[in-house]
Amino acid sequence: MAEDRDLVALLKRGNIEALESLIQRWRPRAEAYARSFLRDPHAAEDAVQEAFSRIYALRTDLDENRSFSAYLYTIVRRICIDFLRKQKRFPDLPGELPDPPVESAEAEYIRNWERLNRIHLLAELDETDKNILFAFSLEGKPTKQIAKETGMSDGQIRIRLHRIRRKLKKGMNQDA
Amino acid sequence: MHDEYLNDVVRRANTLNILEQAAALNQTGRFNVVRWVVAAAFGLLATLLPSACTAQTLLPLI
Repeated sequence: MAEDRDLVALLKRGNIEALESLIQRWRPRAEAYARSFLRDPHAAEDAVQEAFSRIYALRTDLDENRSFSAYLYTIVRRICIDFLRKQKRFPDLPGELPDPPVESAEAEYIRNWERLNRIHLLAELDETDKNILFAFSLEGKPTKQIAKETGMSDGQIRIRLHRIRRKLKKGMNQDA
Repeated sequence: MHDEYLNDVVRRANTLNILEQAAALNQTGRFNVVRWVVAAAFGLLATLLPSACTAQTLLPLI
């Protein structure tokens, strides 16, 4: 059976089979770890799927010489904390957050911490903001047209775009 | 392996990559460039037009 480092090297080149093998190998343990945070099997499953998605989105930044499991657990942990924060259950948690089941899962494992953080922040945007960002920046739609399509005012769309910019900037500065 | 699970992972990853591109474009502020060009053009016009009009009026009289 291939080592993680070999699979990560393949994954960096966009090899789907390598991703599949890593999922098969790590999904059960990552879900168990997420369940220890969330106490909800469905939320844990979703958190781990989201973690694999973020890893695949960041595949070119992976380092095969580092521990894949540490990287995975770091991302799962972040997703779980965000989930709990949204559920307003986070205030009860400090002190009882489970440690990742690896020696260390800190920034040393992540070559491009800034990009990982940007992906986290983007993934956490709500669906409306994602759609507005997509329509404005990639489809090139004017804010007035987006306003018409979403039932909001032109001003609201501009404010949302500004807030997205600010949120990403602020998030990047905070976590740098 | 559930193909559906894998497909979802790839789909979500692609969405994130697209959002990343969108965010990069949004950071630069698409309409800011247009605003600056329009403002500069207006500024030039407002500065030079009165002088040009005055010159055009006065020149035949001199």
